Order: sequence, then structure tokens, then C-alpha cells
Amino acid sequence: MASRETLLASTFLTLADTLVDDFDVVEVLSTLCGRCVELLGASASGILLADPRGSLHVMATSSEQANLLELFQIQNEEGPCLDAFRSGRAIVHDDLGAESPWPHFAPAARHAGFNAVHAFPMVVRSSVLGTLNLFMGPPRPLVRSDVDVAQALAHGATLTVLQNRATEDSHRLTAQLQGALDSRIAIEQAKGVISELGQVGTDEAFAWLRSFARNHSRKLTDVATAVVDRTLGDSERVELLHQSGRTGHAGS
Amino acid sequence: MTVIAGLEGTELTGAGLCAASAGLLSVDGAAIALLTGDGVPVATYRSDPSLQPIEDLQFVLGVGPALDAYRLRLAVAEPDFAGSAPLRWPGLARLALDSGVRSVSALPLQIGAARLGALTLYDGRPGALEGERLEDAHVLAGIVTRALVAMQAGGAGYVLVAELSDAVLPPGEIDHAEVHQASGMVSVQLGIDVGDALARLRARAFADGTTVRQVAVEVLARRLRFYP
Repeated sequence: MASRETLLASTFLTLADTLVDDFDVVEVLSTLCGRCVELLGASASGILLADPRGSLHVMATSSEQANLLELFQIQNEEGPCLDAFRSGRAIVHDDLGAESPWPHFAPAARHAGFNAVHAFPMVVRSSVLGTLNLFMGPPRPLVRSDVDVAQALAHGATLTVLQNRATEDSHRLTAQLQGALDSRIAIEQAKGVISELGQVGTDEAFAWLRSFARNHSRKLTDVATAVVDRTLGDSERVELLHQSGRTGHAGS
Repeated sequence: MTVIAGLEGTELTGAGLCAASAGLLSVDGAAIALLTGDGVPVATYRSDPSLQPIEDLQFVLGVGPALDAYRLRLAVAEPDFAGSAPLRWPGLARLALDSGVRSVSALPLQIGAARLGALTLYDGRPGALEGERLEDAHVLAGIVTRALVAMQAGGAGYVLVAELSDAVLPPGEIDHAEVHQASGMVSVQLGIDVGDALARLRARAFADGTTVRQVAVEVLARRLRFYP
């Protein structure tokens, strides 16, 4: 088991390597979410990005479980993500009990097995792009060094979005955000297509999509777009849809 | 966001959306082209009839701002048809200048991998949309896309107003992950593209007096299936 320092250093080295090359924004952010879980002892984590209208959208999560996606989604009304997004400050909340400031979000989170939540803003100059969110199972207070690590990972997520070259006019923040959001939507659409063709749940469909993209060294968004546009070749489609029992490690 | 406030009271027709877009972005004219997979126009709208010839020409030539924005899924522009720099679409220059158009910008109308078409903005002054105006144009393209889905779903006027406020007030009903997943499933069930599948979900919600998200949840749970 690597020490936290080693894992943290390797996370940022990998990120630096990735960001100088062509990369897929959803894939990199999903990997970051996985590292958050490992580094901070969280049960789950996710990254939300705001669209130009100020609505928060799920960009990546450590797990594609529907109830987790829903917990992020309801934070358009209330919750730590919305508070961190609006204030531009970290929200560290160690107890989702009776004292919680979120009457709808807190019971939903507790019902899903989470006792504490934390949200860290993704800030660039004076704008907040979105938030990185941690869901904790057993109560364990975040110490100062945890908060620093989480905020550093949120900065890593910010850099990833800013460095995304999926758009021609890459210096425009709105275009970059729009491009990242469209990537995520394309992946949701592809999950639906695969789920129907393969008669599996959408989380399994995501695992198939991700594993296929990795095996072929292709960007997740490009594969998702090809699935939605039906431009995958016959043999590729067969391969993508026959992964039952082979995707147990797809999320690692 | 000023661009959204400016949409209040917009007539929710293709031409109404074009007129509102041109007004909000302070350009002389705007056009919307709804396109099929390989870039064939299925419907076109414009704020001003004088834009029809140049819109028609790009579909005859098979090149132009709307087709490029649609194919590349990116904003594209020609800052000056009368300038000295090489032109992006030389075949359009003569007719553009004859129609009083010096510059043009086009943005894709898309939701994820689903492409509906493109929004093209024409102006008599040189210069591509830049800075805040380009950002506003991106926001506007997102709203126009959602309004077009509602129009394709065949909602009555009052419903279209609701759809537009849905698109404006966070969180837009249509922007839930379940809706995009269900669009993918329905596109397979009906053998149609995912943009049309989204319109079918919307139409079903209108018919049942429920929300598109509720319909999506039923589809995902495999309690509701669409048959061709």
C-alpha cells in the first residue's frame, strides 16, 4: 500500500503528464474522483460543473450509481456543492445530523449511507467553475492536511477543464465549459444506447464504454459520440456489447 | 445573464427565435438550419427574407458557416468577406457582399452528441463575434436548441413558454442525466437519432401532462417502452 504522500505525488505527476497531451476531460476527472476516494478516505466523490446559466451538472463521479448521481443533481436546490459554488469557499461539514443547514439534501444523503459531506470550489481568478464534492461514510473529521489535499485536487480539476482542447477557440472559458458539458451529455446518451442494446443497467453500460475506450486508447467522448451516431464498425460494436464478466476492474 | 432577460416575450417560432437572436447579439440577421446526419437541411428559418439566397447557396455548394459549425461541432466565423486575408468560404463572398453581409459567425445547435443544426449570425459590419458577445452567443445557442426540441415535440405555444423558462431557470428539466440516458435508449427502440428521441420524450411528457424527467425515469426502469 503506497503512502499518501506517494499516491498524492503520483496523482499530480499523472495529471501533469496527461494535461500536456490530448486527453478526454471526463476520463481525467473520473480518475481524479477515484483518487479523492483513495486519498481522503471518502466513500464517494464527484465533480460538478456549472453551465453558463449557473446550473450545476455532474461531470464525473467515483461511481456511476444512480442514487449518487441523484444526490449531486438535487444540489441545484440546496447542498454543500451549491454553497461552495455560490460562496467560492470550501464547505466542510462533519455531521449531517439534525444541525444540518440542508433540510432536503441531508436526509437524502444520510439515506444513501453518508454521514458527512464536503465541497471544494473550483476557482479560476474571480470565477467559480464548479465544485469537487466528497461523501464520507463513517464519521471522521477532515483535518487541515485533508482539506489542503482536497483543495489541491479541486485545483487539478480546474486545470483539467481549462486545458481541455476539445474546442477550437480554447481560450474562451464559456466554450470550454460548454465543450466539457457536451462531453458528459454525449456519455449519458451513449450509456442509454448501450444499456438498451446490451440490456444492462446504465452503470454497467458506462463500465463497458470506459473499458472499450481504454483498450483502444481512444477518448471516452469520441467513443460515446460514435456510439450515439452509430458510426462504430460492426466488429467494434460487437466487442463493446460483449463485455459481460470482463469489466470487474473497469472503475479502478 | 442579460442575454436571457432579453428573450422574454420572444415569439417561439423559428423566425421568432432568429429575430430574437439577432437582436440580442446586435447583429443584422440570424438564421437557423435544422440538418440531418449528413448535413441536408430539413428546415430553415431566418430573421429576414433577404438572407434566404445566401443560406440556400451554402447548401447548394455543400460548404458554409452552418455546415462547418454542424460538422465540426464548433463555433466558426468569417470576419470579413471584403478583407485581404484568405476567405474561409470563397464561394460565398460575392453573394454575401451583394446581400450586404460583411461578416458571419455560426454555432452548432447540439445537446451532447445529438446535433440539431446550426445558428448563423450575419452582420453588415466586419468582425467575428468575440469576447462577451461570443459567450452570449454560446448561451443563446443552448437555449435555442432546447426551444427547438420543444417545437419538434409539437407543444402548444403556452408549453413552449414553459420550456423556455425551463431552459432558463436552473435546473432545466431537460438537463437531467436520466433524460439523456433515456434519449439514448429510445433512439435504439425507435431506430431514430438521439435528438429526435429527445423530442419524442418531450412529446410524451406533453401528452401525459407530466415532466420529461418523469417519462425518462419510466424508460430507464423499463416500465415504459417506445414502439415504432
